[in-house]
Amino acid sequence: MNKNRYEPVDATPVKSFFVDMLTRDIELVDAILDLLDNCVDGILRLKGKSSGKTPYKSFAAEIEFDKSSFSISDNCGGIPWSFHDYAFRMGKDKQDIDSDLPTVGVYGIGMKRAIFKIGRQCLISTQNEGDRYEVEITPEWIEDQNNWSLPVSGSSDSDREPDRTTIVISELNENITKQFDDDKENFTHELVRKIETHYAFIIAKGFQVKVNGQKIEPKPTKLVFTEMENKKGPAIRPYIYKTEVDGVHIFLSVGFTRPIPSQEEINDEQEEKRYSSDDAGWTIICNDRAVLYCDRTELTGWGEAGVPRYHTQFIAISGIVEFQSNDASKLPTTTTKRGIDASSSIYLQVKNRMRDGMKLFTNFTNQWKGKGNESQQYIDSGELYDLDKLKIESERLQLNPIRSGLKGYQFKPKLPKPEPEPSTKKRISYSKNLEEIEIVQSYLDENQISPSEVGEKCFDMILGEAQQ
Amino acid sequence: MKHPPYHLRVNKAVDRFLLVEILNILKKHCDISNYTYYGFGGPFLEDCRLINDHCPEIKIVSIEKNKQTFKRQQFHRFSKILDLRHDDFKSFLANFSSTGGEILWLDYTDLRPGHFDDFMSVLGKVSEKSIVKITIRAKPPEQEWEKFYREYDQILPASVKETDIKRPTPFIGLLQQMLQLASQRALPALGESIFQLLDSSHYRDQTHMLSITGIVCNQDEVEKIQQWFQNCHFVNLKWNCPQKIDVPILSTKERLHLEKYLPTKAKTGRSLSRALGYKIDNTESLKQYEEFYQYYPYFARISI
Repeated sequence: MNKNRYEPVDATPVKSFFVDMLTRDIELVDAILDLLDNCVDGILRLKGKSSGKTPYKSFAAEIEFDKSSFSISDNCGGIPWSFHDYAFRMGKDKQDIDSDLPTVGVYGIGMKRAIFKIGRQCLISTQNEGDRYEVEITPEWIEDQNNWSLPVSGSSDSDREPDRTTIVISELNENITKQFDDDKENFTHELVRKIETHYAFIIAKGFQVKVNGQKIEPKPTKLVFTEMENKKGPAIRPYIYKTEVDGVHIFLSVGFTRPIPSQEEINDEQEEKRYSSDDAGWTIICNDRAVLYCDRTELTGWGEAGVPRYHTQFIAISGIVEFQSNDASKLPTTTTKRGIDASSSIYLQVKNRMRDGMKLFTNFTNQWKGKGNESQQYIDSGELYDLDKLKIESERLQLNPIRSGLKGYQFKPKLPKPEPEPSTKKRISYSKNLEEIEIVQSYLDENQISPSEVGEKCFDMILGEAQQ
Repeated sequence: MKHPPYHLRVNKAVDRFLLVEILNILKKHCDISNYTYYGFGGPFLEDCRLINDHCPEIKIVSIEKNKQTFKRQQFHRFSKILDLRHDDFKSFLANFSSTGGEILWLDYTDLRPGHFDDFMSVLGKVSEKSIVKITIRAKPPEQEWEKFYREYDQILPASVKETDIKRPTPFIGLLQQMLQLASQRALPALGESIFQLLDSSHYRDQTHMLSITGIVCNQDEVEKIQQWFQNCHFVNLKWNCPQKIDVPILSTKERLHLEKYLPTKAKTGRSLSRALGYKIDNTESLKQYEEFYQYYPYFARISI
């Protein structure tokens, strides 16, 4: 066989790979969050590591969209000209960019992918210190397979405005127009909810985000913590675990966000009424961004290795795990940065601790089943602490070393146990026809009370008569 | 089971007639003889009766969960074509499959998160050019904001504020936005069909209610369908604020007297007020009467 008949093959990428293929791997909302991630990474470059209570204060991003355009503008430092290769090339070449900062950009694709996801015409205007320039992406450039360089126009009239970036995208893709216009109500709901939850920690640290003029308020996970001074003995406090491995700092906490649900709440939920299930489950934060929010699946340890499957009765249990690293590639996230890499070694080890902590609270819930009102006093005596406050509190707690598996330090709370039923008390429960219950409700002139309260009132009424 | 006096509610009666009006317009543009009306009927089957009077060609199904009410419906059954079903709506819906066009009225008397689920399920199940109407209680809830937020979080618009659930007008607006959001979630613009709103009204007989009606239609037919309804005086195609129905209680003698002055051009209520020579509630209520007099029901006391 003649070896020369084979010539080297062409392996240069085609633009449709970036424009039409990569964009399928990400939801529109997540693509917009990628643009917000860039804003926060910009702050870190400007200010260095995030320290203090509100390191992102006075930084803001504004997102606006309608049926014909999308824009995001920020005052987060702009794109330094020295970063243009990283910012505008399809993919990241140098791994040493931001090597000493806890940013989340790893692959150098987020901004471009978001732009191509949304539309075909884009103008990126940025100002960073002495640099002020604009980069334009046009439909013609997207179509041209041979032209990989983007025109840059500089501007010398630098003003006194803070360093910033504005991205304006037009010629929106057809399905994007539909989401921005026909489904605006639903899409805005989805975007705002995701920013409220996934950016809760960053917004709580001072960053301001507006969507079509509406300021977003954070919705952070808060866990019940009873101050040590208030209660020395058993009390409701979260499980806490801390460690540092291979340059990744890990802080984990799991506990209660609210009182455990009554049987009626559980029944109502099963009849399709929705209570606070959305707040239950695990939230995973990587470099301040939530990459997973309130997950209740096996991904976070529910329903495996002795932990029961998630059920409405566990509505009160929530957990937070925070991973911090200056090397974003060590974080257990997927390429979209909105999911956990379940095969990551570090995550699999931390998951063991997540299950350990979770079991304390599923056991508590099972022990107090049917005694929701009695357990509530313990939960009411605590306060709701957010992640920062839990971290501060963990410094005061006595954490014990863990010597097996992933090393680290943990705090195992001593949770209250229910008193055994005294022999002088017995539980009465029975079921009756709904129509008959309504008749009694009406007779008692108490139309708003629950069936179990109807039963209790009937008993008290008869007891009163019997005792006369 | 105690029922409110549905059959004596004038504003509710007007709302029923608005549905009939929509069906009359629909009839002009498509054959509805293979349509089926699904409703909750109530003990006196008022809605079913009205639909049967105006659209005798369509089949009518009433779904009733309560056994005693169901028996009462059997007693009031007015036609052989009326199919009375003793079933829970959720299980009915689980087994439902479209057999042609549908006219479906989710006529609730209260407000629950499950009603929005039902609305979304219905939108996903009916065929194109089906009419879907939902009525829910619009009285501001007594529960705490946090509890309301938790229960309805999934369908609350991004702009929702705590004050929206405190007063009637903002709450009605909020509920309409929630229904809009639910319709967009059930039939997203990226799909083939969408929910086109046709009418949105709020009224108060004993308690505040919000009632919206729309049509499920193919994206390609939206403009055409909007044109069918655009001259209808109560139409709301763009999710604007719902119109208020608040017709006055008038005696038969008063109504007969006012007939000769109707319709009016200005619809301000002033000419009817002058015609009566005395005030009834306020001018606004006579303005409402001018707007909806064609749909105003006649109630009379008769001895049998």
